[in-house]
Amino acid sequence: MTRYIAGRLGWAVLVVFAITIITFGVAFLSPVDPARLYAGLRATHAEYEIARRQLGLDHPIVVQYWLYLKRLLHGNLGTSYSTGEPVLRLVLSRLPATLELAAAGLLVEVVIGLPLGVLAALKWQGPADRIVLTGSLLGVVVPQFVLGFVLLYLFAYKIPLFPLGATDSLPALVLPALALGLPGAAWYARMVRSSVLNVLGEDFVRNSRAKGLSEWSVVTRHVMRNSVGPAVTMIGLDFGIFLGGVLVVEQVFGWPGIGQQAWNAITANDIPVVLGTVIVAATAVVIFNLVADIVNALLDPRIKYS
Amino acid sequence: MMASAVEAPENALEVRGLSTVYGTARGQIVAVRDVSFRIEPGEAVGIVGESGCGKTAIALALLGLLPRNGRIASGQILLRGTELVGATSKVLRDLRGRRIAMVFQDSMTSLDPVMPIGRQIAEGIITHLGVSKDDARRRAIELLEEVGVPDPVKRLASYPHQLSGGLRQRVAIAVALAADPDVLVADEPTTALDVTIQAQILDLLERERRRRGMALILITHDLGVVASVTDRVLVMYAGRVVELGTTAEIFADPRHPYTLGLLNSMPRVESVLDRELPTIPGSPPSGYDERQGCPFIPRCSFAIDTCRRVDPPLEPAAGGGEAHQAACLVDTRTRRSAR
Amino acid sequence: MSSDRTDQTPLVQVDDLAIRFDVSARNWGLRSRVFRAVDGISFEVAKGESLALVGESGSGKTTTGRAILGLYRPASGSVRFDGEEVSKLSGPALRHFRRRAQMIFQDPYASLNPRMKVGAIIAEPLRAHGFGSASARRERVTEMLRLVGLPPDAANRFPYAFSGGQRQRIGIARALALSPDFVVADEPVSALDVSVQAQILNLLAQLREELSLTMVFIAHNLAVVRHVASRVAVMYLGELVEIGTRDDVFARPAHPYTRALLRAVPPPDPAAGWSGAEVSLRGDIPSPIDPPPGCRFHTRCPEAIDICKTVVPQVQTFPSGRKVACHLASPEKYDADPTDTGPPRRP
Repeated sequence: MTRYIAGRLGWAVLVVFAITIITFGVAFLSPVDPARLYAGLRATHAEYEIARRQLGLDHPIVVQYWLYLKRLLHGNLGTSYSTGEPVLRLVLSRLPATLELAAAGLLVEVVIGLPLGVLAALKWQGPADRIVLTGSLLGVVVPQFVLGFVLLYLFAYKIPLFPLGATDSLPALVLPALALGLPGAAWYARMVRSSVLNVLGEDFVRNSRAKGLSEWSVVTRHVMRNSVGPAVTMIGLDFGIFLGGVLVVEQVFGWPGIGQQAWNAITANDIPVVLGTVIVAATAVVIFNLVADIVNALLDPRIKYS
Repeated sequence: MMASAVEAPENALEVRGLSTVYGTARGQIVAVRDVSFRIEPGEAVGIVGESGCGKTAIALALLGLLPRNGRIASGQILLRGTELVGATSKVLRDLRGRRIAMVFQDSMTSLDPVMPIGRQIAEGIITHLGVSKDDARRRAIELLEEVGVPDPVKRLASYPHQLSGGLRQRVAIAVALAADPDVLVADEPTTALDVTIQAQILDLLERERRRRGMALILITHDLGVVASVTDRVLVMYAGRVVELGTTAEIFADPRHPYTLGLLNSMPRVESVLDRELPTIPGSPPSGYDERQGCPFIPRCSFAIDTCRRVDPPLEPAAGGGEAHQAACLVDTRTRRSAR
Repeated sequence: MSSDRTDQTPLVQVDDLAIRFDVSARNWGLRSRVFRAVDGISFEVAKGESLALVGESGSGKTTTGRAILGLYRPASGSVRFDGEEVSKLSGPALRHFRRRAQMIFQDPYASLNPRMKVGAIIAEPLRAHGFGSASARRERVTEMLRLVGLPPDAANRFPYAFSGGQRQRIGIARALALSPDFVVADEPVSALDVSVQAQILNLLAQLREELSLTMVFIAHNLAVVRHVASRVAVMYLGELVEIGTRDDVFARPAHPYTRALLRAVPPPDPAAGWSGAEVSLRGDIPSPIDPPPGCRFHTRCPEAIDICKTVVPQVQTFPSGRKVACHLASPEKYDADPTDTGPPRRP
């Protein structure tokens, strides 16, 4: 098992490296010239050249990357073009709010999606199954910002169940979490349904019935553990998708997380903040995936050996 | 039909007129057609046939485990007097594992891949015998020893994929025997195993049968296995029993053209035929064609006119032992009508 | 080591062949683990002969069959076809070899592309080797179908329309389309129903005769082997334990494993009184990745003595041409050579 974890960790590190190369590449290729910004729009050519040298922009690309990497490893993600503050501090200050939202969204996904999927599979082709299938189709198809606005309109405005515009209380978390998680829940329901259906057809399920186990025992002891594998992997990948959805949902609900910050930075051409967000988010995704892989290996002992 | 004057409760299993059907996209298949037989306690009965003959469908029907698209269309299954057809799920659950158990062909897929085998064995013990977990664990170790798994205490924690094919099948047998059933149905238990391992497993099944006085239904396509391990045989073709009798009789004096053809066409280890093997032309039926008359006609070299009109019933073979029955209108010894 | 009709040069010559697979990828290359699927075997196949390679799981028989066709590169040793080293062939020489040496596969359901019509399947090797015009190919396809006992209109149908036995015939037609002189048949009847096996065995025997084919027949079913082979090679865990004529090996098996294999097959004769206990082989087949030292069979052999545990037995060649790798075997015990007027056989 340790060997498996070590292997996964190794890959995770490599992936983060690759991310830094990509972000560096984007920064390098961006049309915004930091030297020009640094020196000011009215700088003379000489001042511009000094700015270039100061920022290390006259080095060959590989050296620039190396310097960049060194800075990253020291926790220096650059400074915001707009506010001048260190990017790392900016991003980390907003991160907790996003994590809170993401966790809540994940909860929505799992708590709604998983049981519905299992139910649909067990009642295959029955009314419950059809409802879940149709409902999940809607969930997958409706764009997140539409969903967000609809939820706001219906449950915060029309029927004021939830606060409008608030971002600090638990009730305030509900609607954004739903907006974030419902599409995922729809995905999950379909996927878990499919996975459970597959497992239900397996020989060992038939064999456990042959032993005289009750249907409940068969499902809880044999079917569940064998079906959740794909769902666990999806949760890991999902985190990445979340961070994309977070951008939209945070805007709709005014949630003060890294998504909103990144959006503002994009419109303001504040590249360091954008790239800094990417690095932090990507690293978070990698870590999350690592955890998901380990959980999967714990659940299914065959994985360690492959 | 095997008529019995007295409703002997001492039959471990009695099947009467069993028919099962499968619904598929292309239509309905009658997988098992009006099959009847009896098994006494401790007896070893072989059900032999090729693909599509219905032998696996019978096995699944006996345990009430037909897939979603299958059902028992008619007939009775009496397990020590208890009717299984139409029984409630509770009755079936109580009987499965405890009175009748099954071993499948592929031990890799018939065991839960993510559960240690010790627990899989203990499950049956706890469910049916209501013992404590510790007792169940001890019992599981005993069972593993009994079936010949070395180092049983360590093995309790193993997963199926960590075991070789032979060991896995032993474990599958231990799982089936956990609650001490009266009848064990083994569906091609050794087909996927190497021949030297097959011999070990057959020996194990035989020993367990004797030790427990358990009835064994051995389903296979291998005539050698049937000859060596069973007391009586049912030969199946196209969902029907085409010949039935003691193993000795059937091999010494086969009366159905199919049985005769199979025995003649088998290459043997003990002897050489330095010319062509006699063959049965054509292939086993797929189950969709519902023709009139005997299903074996397209491949039969004994067929006479009446065979095309009548589906021959299973009746005592002319001049054979009482219990030797064949579903054929022709006496294969003389090629003349037997009826 | 000769059958009725032989040339001086054997068609296939295998010398000290070893095929190894690297399974260390599972450990990130930290520990080098080598799986010795075939570990130093030597044998020959004379023209016109039918040699059966027999063994259980892990014996290496399938790997050997594929290696003969050049599908695996030997880690050491050589495979020579008509005098030429197969692994060194390339370009036109390789193509020529492929025309002459073909394979029949085990699974008639998996070895035919379900999306291709039967005619196209059989014609595929013809196209690959630039056989001729489309009409010439069509003619050849019809001829092959007739040869294997299928109607010519089968060419326009898809594999799913055919039974297992018929599909195997199609596979055979495909293998023989280029008129090879050598065929490796990898368990060609194992996946077929019993009543169909005999048909295919007869077909193979007939084709072998008609087309003067040399065959290597891989099988685990000894009854089938007895019917089909002129010589038999028995393999265990990557090694050749015995090789000899069919009659010799079946009637007077010289290696304990061969004896065990033969005893392990239940005969279709209730009066024979066979019981699984007869086999008396202990335990399971060891993993081929970690074979036992000395004679690989010693862990299960009922006759093993001390030397078997440490010393690998050398291959002995009996006067009759039979070869055995066992410390306990000797010609006097097992060979009956009718022309030999030497000392009488000890019982």
